Amino acid sequence: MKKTKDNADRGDLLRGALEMLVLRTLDEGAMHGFGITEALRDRSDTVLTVDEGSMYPALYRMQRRGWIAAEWGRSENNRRAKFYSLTDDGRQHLETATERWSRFSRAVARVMDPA
Amino acid sequence: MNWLRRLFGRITGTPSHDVIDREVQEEIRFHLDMRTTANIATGMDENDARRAARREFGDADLVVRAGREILSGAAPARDGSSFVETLFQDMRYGLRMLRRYPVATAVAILSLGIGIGASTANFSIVYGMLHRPLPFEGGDRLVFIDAWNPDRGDGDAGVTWADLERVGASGAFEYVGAFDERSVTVAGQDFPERVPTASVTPGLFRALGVEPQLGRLFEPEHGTEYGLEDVVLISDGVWQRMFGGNPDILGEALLINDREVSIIGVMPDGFRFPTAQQLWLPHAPGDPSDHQRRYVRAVGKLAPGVDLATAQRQLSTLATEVAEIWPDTHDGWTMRGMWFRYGFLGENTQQLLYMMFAAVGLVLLLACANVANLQLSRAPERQREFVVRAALGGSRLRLFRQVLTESIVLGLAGGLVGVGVAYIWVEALLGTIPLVPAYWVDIALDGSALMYAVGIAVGTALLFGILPALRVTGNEMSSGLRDAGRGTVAGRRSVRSALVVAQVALAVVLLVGATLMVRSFLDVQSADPGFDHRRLLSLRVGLSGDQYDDAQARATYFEQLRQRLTALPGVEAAAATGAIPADDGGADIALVPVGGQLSDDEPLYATAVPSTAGFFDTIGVNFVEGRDFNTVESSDGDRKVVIVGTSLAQRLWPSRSAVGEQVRFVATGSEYEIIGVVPDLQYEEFGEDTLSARLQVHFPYPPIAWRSMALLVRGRGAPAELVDSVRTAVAAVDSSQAPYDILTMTERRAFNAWGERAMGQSFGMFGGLALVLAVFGVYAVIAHSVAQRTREMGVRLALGATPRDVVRDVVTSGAKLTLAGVVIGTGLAVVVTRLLAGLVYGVSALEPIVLMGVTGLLVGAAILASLLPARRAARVDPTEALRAD
Repeated sequence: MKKTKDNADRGDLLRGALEMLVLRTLDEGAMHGFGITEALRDRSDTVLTVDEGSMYPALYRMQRRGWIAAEWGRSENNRRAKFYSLTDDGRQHLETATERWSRFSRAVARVMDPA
Repeated sequence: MNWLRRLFGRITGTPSHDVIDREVQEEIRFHLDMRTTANIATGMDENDARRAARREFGDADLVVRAGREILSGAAPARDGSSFVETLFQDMRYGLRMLRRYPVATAVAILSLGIGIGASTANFSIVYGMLHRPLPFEGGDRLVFIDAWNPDRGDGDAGVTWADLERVGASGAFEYVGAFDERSVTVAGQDFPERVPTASVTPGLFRALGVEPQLGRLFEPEHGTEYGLEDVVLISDGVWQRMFGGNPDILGEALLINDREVSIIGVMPDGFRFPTAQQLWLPHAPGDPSDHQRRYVRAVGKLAPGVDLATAQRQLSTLATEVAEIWPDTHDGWTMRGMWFRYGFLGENTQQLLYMMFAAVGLVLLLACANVANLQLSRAPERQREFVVRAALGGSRLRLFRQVLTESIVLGLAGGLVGVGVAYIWVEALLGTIPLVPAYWVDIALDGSALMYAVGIAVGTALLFGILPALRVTGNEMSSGLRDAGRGTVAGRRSVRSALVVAQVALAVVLLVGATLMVRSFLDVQSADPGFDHRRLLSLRVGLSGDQYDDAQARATYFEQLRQRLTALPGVEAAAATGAIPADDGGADIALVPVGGQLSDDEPLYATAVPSTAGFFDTIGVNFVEGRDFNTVESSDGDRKVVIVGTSLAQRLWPSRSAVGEQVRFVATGSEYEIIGVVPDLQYEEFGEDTLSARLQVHFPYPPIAWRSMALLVRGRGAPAELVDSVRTAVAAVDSSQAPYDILTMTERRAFNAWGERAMGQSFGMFGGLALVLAVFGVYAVIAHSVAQRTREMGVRLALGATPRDVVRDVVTSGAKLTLAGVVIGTGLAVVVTRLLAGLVYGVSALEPIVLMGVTGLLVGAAILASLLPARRAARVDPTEALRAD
């Protein structure tokens, strides 16, 4: 049972991180799903690559929670595409999450590199 | 359900599934197009670009499903949906997954279908024969009581009335009685009929809780000696057929064996106690002081709360007690209780059926191992999917449940196929049963069989599903994303190899069993009965009527009939005999050689068979020495001459001729001269030989002069064509006698070999299935490991290994697995053969030749099965292989 709990937690951490990254990307403006994957890929130097498809359920879940909104629009090559944009709730969540994340990463950094 | 959801959506403003699905699909399409374009920009050609886009996207179905669940609100962001909702989702998803691997799924469903089908069919057989409740009250408490004498190697002898009197008083039984199956001649409207009948002690039906539909049961005062009965109970069938269901039948007379017997009742529809009887006569109550005649076929109904083991202890104690009172008649005898149904099915039936059941269980296990193997081979792929899903919020328990549900869907699909297989199996089997042993044997695919099918479908699903479910959701869950599960190939391969080794081992056991069973059947079929059984017709006549009370009249009848039959066109020879070889056993008789070393206290037990003139000619037996009975000896009961079989002759006079010697029969004290020696005949059915059955004494008809005799007719052509003229001949001698049980000897042999044939066929089938399933298992594992080791093969080829080396390696690994299985299987087979040895005709020990054959077959098939993937491995292009990963 112990192991199950660990795994679930790790899953949570991973999921939370993915959500935070998506929200951060959208903070710069509305974007379609493909654009979000491209942005993540570029910025992380392809370190953070998951199956691209798995991005979408995360998007849908955040949409359900009201963090992001979806709207059909025209893409750069003039095709119908679904654009996601940050809502006020989403922006607020991003702030809390970012705050929690930097606290966490500072703590990790101090432990790892106690200078 | 869909319209409901749409309506709900319209009210709450949630988009319907269709809309969501369309939008998500469009979004995915857009994504794939964009990625393809981007890939083309890096220099790929269009097809590769699209394929790469799909690969990078991962499972699109999964995204559509997640979209539907999340956006419609059916599944909130976290797991919280109801158990049933989840179950249906899982089942739908399971079905979709199964459709995505059509070949693997078809193979799995087929394997399971065969396994479950065979098991279900066998359940029907075992249940129908051994466990279906008997159609009368207390059937599960009804016990046969018989006697046996281990020293003489005799089975089922009867008990004496004195024995039964004591058994009744012991308190172990609520009721004891006796019955006897016989057949009587009933004068019908047009011609006499031979009707299966039982004599029952008057109280027996009351003890069975049966009530007549018309009239009344026997009263104690009705009990009468054989042939003197004046009342009869008739079956519903006889009532309808002979009397048109006339309600005023009571008190009418039925002409039974030429005597008028008054009908006192009609038994209920479907009542045929004990096996297929149509008339019941009241059995004479015995003389409780008669401790001499061992002829009572006793039944007892266990008292409430007494089990068979307890009753058996009582019987053994009683047997010892009576042996002290009457040592001359009871020394060495013991009494035995046996469940009613085994009295008709034979004692071995239960063990043989359970053996078959076990064999079928092994086939099912083999099928399960195959399915588990298939599931495991998909595990890496599934694992990737599950890692993604776990990352998206699926709990481990939830995923575990998903995999199990998929297995259960697979199991149920296999169950469905299995019911079809079982149906065909049972129909085919019923087609080969020449004669159902008793009216209460009912082999059918009924509700209980279907329940059983569903039960084992789910049970096997759990069995083959647990391992893959643990694997897929196992500890590597979150170890990586894109390449999850690749590092653990070796570990998984060892589990799969173990499964294959187990499969091969089981297959060895089944194939050895199958070989023994098939051989047993062939042996029975080809065993030499001691005579030429072709062109031989057999039938029976049981003389009825007062005019045949006189032995001389009986002798005249059979002599007339013999002459008439011999004179028929197309007939070579004909004779009457007391026992049909390879079917009836003869009568036991105790004898000592005159002037020999045996005393009357320790005589030799032999089989006595009377026959009319022409018997040895008819069955086509040549005399070893001496001569046949002459006409005087065949008609005059005072000429004391016999012919003996070679075994008896050699036993008593090993060093000289038996002809001219004399034997004395202990029961009568009379001395007979041996005038000839013939080869031994097979009297009992094959596999039912007793010690005495091989020692044979042939009498002329007059000194024994039974009422019931069999007639053997040798034709010049096909014996079946003689049936009509033989019937006419019997009617011409005395039209009141009914010939019955008319069969060619070839048919009779087939009837008697039915059990062996059914076992041989079934086990042959099991063996074949086991071979196919095991070979498939070997193939799947080797093929899979080759696919997994493409890179390794590539490296080796690049480093200079020849394709031949690679082929040899792959084939060797297949052969190694198989050999490991064979070694384990051989050990098991030795044990199984020992179990079979006592049960199956002609099986003694595991012969090396059988084992070698089975081993050769399996190893050969396994090598062929690994050759295919081996050649694929050898054709690997090193550069391709290195890039592929």
